[in-house]
Amino acid sequence: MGESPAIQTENLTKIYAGSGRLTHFAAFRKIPGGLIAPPRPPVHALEGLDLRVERGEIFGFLGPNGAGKTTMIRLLLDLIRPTRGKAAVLGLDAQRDAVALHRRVGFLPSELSLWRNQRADRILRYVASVRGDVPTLLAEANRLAERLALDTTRKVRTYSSGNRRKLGLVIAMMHKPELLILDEPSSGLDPLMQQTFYQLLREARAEGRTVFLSSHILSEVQTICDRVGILRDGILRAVESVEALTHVEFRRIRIRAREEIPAGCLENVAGVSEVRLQGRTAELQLHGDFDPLLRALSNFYIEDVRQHDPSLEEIFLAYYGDGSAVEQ
Amino acid sequence: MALPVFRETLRRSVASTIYWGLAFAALALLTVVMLPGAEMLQTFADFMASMPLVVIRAMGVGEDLEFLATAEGFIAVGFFSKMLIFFVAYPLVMGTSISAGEEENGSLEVLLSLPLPRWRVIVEKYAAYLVTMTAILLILYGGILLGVFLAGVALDLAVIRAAVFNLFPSMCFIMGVTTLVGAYVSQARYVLGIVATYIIVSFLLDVVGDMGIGTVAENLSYISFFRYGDSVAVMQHGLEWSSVVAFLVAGVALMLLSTRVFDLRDIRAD
Ligand SMILES: Nc1ncnc2c1ncn2[C@@H]1O[C@H](COP(=O)(O)OP(=O)(O)OP(=O)(O)O)[C@@H](O)[C@H]1O
Ligand SMILES: [Mg+2]
Repeated sequence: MGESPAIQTENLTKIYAGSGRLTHFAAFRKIPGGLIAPPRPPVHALEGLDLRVERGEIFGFLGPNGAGKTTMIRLLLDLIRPTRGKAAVLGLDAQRDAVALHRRVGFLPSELSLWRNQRADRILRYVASVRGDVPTLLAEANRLAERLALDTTRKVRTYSSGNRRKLGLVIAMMHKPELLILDEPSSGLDPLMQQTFYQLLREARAEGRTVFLSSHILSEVQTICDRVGILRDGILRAVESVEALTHVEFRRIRIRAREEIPAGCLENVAGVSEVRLQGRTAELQLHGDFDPLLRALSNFYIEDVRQHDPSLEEIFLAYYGDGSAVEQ
Repeated sequence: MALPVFRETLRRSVASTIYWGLAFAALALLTVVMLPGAEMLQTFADFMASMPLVVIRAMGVGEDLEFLATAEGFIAVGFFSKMLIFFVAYPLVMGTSISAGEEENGSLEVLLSLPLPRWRVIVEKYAAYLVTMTAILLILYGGILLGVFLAGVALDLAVIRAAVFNLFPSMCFIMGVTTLVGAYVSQARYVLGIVATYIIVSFLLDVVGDMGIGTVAENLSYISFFRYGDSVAVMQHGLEWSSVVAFLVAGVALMLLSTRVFDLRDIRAD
């Protein structure tokens, strides 16, 4: 058992049936006024996913909106059933052994909604009572809540969205699960809380536990993850260590000089491409180190240099733009 | 067994159980307190007798107009019989919250990510609502007792108890129906719509069937659950145990069937 990977999927595929269940009955399709939506075509949300996540790593699942990240996570938790293929989690079948598996897994959904009229501590007690050892679980829950600065004596309805996510994190982590599955965990947390949260994840890793998180924020994945899988249109495009991804990463740079930058002076500078000159400002794309660029500009008085991280889209274009083979 | 969902459902239902119970009890109390005196009752029965047979039957009294002249008869017709349409609102609302309500607001995702098989969510909640339903009927009976005390009327309480008890199987059945629809449909408003339609159609079929005007209407009224939970007959002739058992068994069977339906499908996926 110790050898089994944290997550292993084989040809995991999910096609959402187009129409809602009610439209299976012809009578309901005829109800006018759009009360029940007309039939929709099926959605191929996930296609033949083969993924292996090792124990003890923090794995980031990166992809733009609608890529299929949530679908994958809901399959792992047996909330939805695969159209084809299968998933094994901690050596157990995600569907057949769901209950045994859920004992060892913590989950934070992306659109977390809890019982709004309940107090947070009552909800924690409820979750603990389902999980079993109530006093131990509540002690850990209180410790986590304290670290996340969460007041659990209030009703969920009065929480800000950040507080709600904190409560979700406490629920996901209170039983110290071997595997944490987090769907866009840090959305809604302020920078300070994000740091605390990352710290919690690192501690979990230090204890040999595994974290699987989805995100569309590259910088977050870079900060915290060991490896990332890149998902797009339901297809796993690549699995890379974060270093490798950072290596191909490039920056977009905007430079403002005191005098006009002459055309041509940034040509043939190592790593610089897509230069756009406009009087005293230059916008360019930089691969690799800064040094060649700085040397090329050494004769100018530079007033300002700004850099922004490329969007995931830009990384994709740079990384896979040439249509090169997808590595696994 | 610890039954966490059962206990949590009970805990959260304390307030709503009291509200529903008090609402029903207040209705019952009003009916008892405003009970006409014996002469008025006789006048009322005579007046009814002068009505066309169809109208008399539509009220669900049967042919026995003398029963209507008694206090029990008045309560049977005025409170227990057609009021069933209000009593089943409770299992309708609670049955909807068993799976569809939680699925729609999203909390089901968290619940099912815990080590809890899906069927237990349904079974434990259904069981919890059987308990709250019992509590509501007890409060209702309390309302009648209070009315009897306040108005000083002489009522055969054994008959009243039978009528109150007779509400339970119908409610259990409607909760089973709602649970099944909820397990399949997953959106609370559709569940409410579908089951409320069934209840109203049942009510109308029962009224039409009682009139006994045509064989078609009478035959159709067999699919109305009102037909089998008729409190008037119970108050006249005692509990119809076959109906009681059939409703209870059907309610539980529908609930068990919903666990199957619920187990087979995607959560929050349409
Ligand atoms: N219940 C559903 N029924 C039909 N289509 C769905 C359903 N859920 C998701 N989809 C579709 O499946 C695709 C993948 O959705 P999914 O929610 O997995 O994406 P995601 O990567 O989590 O996106 P986001 O970053 O926005 O959360 C999308 O095209 C979405 O529209
Ligand atoms: Mg998502």
